[in-house]
Amino acid sequence: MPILSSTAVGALVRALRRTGPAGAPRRRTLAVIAAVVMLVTLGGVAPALAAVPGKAAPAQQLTLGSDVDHVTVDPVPCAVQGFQLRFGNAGSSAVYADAFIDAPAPLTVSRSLVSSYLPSGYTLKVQIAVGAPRSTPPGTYTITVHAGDQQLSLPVQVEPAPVNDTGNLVRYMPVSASSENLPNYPACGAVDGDRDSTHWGTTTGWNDATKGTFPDWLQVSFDQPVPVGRVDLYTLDSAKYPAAGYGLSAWDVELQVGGSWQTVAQVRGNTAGEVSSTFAAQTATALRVVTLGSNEGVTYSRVVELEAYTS
Amino acid sequence: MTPDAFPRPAARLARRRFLTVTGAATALAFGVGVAQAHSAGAATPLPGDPFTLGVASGDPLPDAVVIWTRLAPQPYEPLGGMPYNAVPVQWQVATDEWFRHVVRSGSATAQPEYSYSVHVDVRGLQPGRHYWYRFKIDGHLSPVGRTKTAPAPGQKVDRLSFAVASCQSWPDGYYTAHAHLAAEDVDAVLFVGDYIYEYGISAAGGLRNTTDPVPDQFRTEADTLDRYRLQYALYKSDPDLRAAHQNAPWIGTWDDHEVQDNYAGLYSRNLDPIEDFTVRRASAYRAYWEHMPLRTPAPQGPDYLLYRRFTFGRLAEVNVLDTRQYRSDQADGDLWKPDNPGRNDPARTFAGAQQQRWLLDGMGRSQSTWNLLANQVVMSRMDLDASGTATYNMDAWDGYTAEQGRLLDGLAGLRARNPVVVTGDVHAAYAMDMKRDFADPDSQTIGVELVGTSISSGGNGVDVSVNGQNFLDHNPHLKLVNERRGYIVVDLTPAELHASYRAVPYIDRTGAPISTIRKFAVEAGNPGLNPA
Repeated sequence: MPILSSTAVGALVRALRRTGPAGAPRRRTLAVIAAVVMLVTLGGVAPALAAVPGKAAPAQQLTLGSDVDHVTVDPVPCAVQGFQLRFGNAGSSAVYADAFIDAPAPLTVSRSLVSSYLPSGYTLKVQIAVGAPRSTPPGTYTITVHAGDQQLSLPVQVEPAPVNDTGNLVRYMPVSASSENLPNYPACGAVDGDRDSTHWGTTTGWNDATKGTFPDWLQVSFDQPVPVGRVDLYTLDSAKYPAAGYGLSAWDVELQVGGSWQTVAQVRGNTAGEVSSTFAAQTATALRVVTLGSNEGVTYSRVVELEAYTS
Repeated sequence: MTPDAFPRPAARLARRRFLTVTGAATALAFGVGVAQAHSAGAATPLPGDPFTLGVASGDPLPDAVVIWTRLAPQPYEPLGGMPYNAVPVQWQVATDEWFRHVVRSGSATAQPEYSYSVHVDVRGLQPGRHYWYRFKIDGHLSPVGRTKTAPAPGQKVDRLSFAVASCQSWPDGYYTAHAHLAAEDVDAVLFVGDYIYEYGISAAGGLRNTTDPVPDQFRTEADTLDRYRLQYALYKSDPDLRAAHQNAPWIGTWDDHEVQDNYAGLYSRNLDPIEDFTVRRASAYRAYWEHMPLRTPAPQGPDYLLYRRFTFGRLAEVNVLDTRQYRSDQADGDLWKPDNPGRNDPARTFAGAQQQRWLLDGMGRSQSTWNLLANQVVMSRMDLDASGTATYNMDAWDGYTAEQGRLLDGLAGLRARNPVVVTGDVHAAYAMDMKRDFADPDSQTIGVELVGTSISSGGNGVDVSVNGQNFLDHNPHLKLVNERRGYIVVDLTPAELHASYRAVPYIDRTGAPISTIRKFAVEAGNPGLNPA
């Protein structure tokens, strides 16, 4: 590693002072210090000084790509869809670089900016989730990614919203929770149509993230008010993790009716994997399960599936 | 500070390390090629107050301190809501909080490449005194921060006070402990790691159960530079954390979560390809630097020299360690394990030979009464007697016994330097006598280890958990376990150290009172914990 002589550094500092912001020489700016260090790192091969306003930067040779040539999007909450952004550096020097991701409304992307250190020859791979609300008109949209002078256009095909013929009122409805043990136990897993406890830990069920604290809650908000008269809760119950050892022991079922929450069912002392709570149907805007205890002790809330029906 | 090392050993060491490590890796281009496209300070009005993340100061020297801010008018938006070009920021340092006597001032440049952070190394200050600082841009004035320089080299100092804090998982609860820490009158806050946690955060914000949902962009784990920056912005949205920074200089180091849970060197938790993890580490290190009151240069690539030393006259020296960057992978698959060959493999590194030598040589040359080690993970032996078998934390010094043994041997030789290890990581307050032989409670005590509990990680906590009691039962050198949230205040005089363990009873809502749950005293020249 060649080490730049202090004389050369001094010369650079003096040069930078002339071009730097006005001020006493003692008051070194970030730009000056950092630029000096970079020069040292390069062993005396002076690069252009991007950090100093007015100086030309070396052109970055960034690359943009994706793993698919188009993205198909179902306009429902919790849909897992998107693309892998491939953000590369074809230049001979490492850089820190930014890629901006623009999605036309009402599409949403999980990240609208990806910034990273990119060594020479390296390609960063980042998963970008793409979403669309239920009301999104089906058709073709375009997501645009740009980084430096590079641009990538990615077609997005928005499908018609799926038809829910299951009678289960929570399917395709937005879900939220007091906390989520991410990435493997999202709230979405509790309304994905998968009741199978052997799939536990693979995003098909909800586990909160506040160990040792109850209550927790899991909530579904309906697109429009619907009559709800029955709530089925499937807590964790497999050969490895039986409900009597790991499942929920107690919870309240609440409906949001006319803007206020009402408790419509209470479950206590449960050791079963599946509990159906029935009650006089009410027209609700949201459904919430407030968890109060686990058969494991004061640990976690675990819900494999939550379903709601009119009767 | 030792006279021969004056005036700036940390800076000189930083330069040397940078050459040997980073320089060998690759040559770096500095800019992202945007700053030159616009003249600095282009007249685009900012979309709001840019000082949402507060101000901070740190790394105090006798004549200097770093003052920090980051411009982020919309902290959760791309680029923090800033235009994509460099902008000038004015700064002032005064001897009074009304800025009647401004002693230093200037202009710094906030650049997109560094997320518009500003790190000014303010030089030419007087030793051992308070200063006030602030920033200004486009008519926006920052909050006023208070800071303090270190005492002069060789100066006799009657009293110093340090706070020890760590582990502040944002979704685990409110930073009430920081609100109380902000009201302490300390010379510096030693923050020993896990400033952020990399995990995705749910809309409800965990135990905070926030009224406004946490934005969607926080659901994924932090793994790229933009995402780490978001995480810091969210953490610094807490007014109590900002207050703690605003009141005193911080001297920080990182542990694992600033990058990824239990990473080791270039080994990720799941042993991702090293090529990929190197990039992630580089982005995480850069984001850490951007958000801490650290001196330039910023990290350029996957390596950054963070271990460094601060001297507070003749009374104290603080050796800041980095036991993440240079360590070998955890033995036997990590976690708590009985004794195993990997744990004792002499070829495995922890702090690394270079850092060990720097530490012990420096402590040997120290002319200060108390020599603190700002350390991440527990250094003393800690046996979780699981099923009657001695069981050790593979992620702590116990998981790397060769280096642990060398360091403890070294500290034993420096017993007269009054070693005081301050530690984080475990979300529990511990107080320990460091023994010459931990298996023999009657062996000589060579120093003390004071483990601060977490600021928030772990939620409300308990006084003593089952595991905590287990530790007490099997580690006779362990004199305190408490698993509430809080921090330690370490008061130093030439004759005595007083450690006050402070804690709050809950953090799932704001407003908890603070209390001192235990105090210990250590006599200078006679290592060991005494009741106080």
